Amino acid sequence: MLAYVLMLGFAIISIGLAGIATSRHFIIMVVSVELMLLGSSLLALSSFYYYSGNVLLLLLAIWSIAAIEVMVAVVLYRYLERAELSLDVGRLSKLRD
Amino acid sequence: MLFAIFAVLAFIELLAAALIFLFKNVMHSIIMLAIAFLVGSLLFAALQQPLLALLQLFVIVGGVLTYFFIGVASAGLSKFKHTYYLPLAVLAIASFLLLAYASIGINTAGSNVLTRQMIANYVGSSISVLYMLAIVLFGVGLGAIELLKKLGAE
Repeated sequence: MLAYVLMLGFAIISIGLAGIATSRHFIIMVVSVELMLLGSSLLALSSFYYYSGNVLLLLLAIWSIAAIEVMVAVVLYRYLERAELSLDVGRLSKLRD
Repeated sequence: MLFAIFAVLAFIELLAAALIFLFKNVMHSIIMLAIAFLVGSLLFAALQQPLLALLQLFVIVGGVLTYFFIGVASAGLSKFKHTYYLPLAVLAIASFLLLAYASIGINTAGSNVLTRQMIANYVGSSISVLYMLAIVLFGVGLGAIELLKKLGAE
C-alpha cells in the first residue's frame, strides 16, 4: 500500500513539473506549482504514516507556501489584466525588446 | 476495501490533474485543481489523518482555492492553447519513472515489481535524494525553457 501511495505522490509531482516546463499560461504555471505542493504533502503524509512521526508542522509549512503563492499570483494576474498585458509568458518575456 | 477506495480516489485525482492542462479556459483548470485538492483531503482521511484532511479541506479548498477562483474570475477570463500536450506527457512520464523507481516495488521482500531486483535501501533512506532530484529536474526544465527562448523558439 505504501508503494502505491508514494507512486501517486510522485505522479502528481511529475504532472506538475511537466506542466511548469510546458505551459505558456501564467496561471497554469502557478497551478502546476500547487500540484507539486499537493504531491509533496501526500508524500510527506505517507512517509510519516508508515514510519511514524508528526507531520502537522511540515504540512502547515507546505500549505502556507501554497497560500502565499496563490495570493501573489492573483495580485499579479489582476495587474496583468488591468495593464492589458498578455498572460502568455512567452510574450511577457519579449516586453523588454 | 481500503485499497479499492484508494484506487478510485487516486484515479480521480490523476484525472483531475491531467484535465488541468487539457482545458483551455483557466477557470475550468482551477476547478480541476480544487477537485484534486478535495480528493487529496479524502486520501488524507483514508490514511487515518482526519484532522489533516479537514485542514486541507477548509484551508486550501475552502479558503485558498476559493480566493484563487474569485480573484481570477473577477479580473477576466482567458482562453488560449497554453500547453504543449506531447512534451507534457513525455516529461510527466519520464519524471515519474525517474522519481518513483525506488518506491514502485516496496513490499515485504523489498524488490522492484517491474524488474524483480532487490532494492538495497528502502524508500525511507532515499526519499531525500528523490526530493533533491525533483528540484534538479525543475531547474533543468526552467533552464531548457530559457535556452529555447534564446535559440528563438516560440
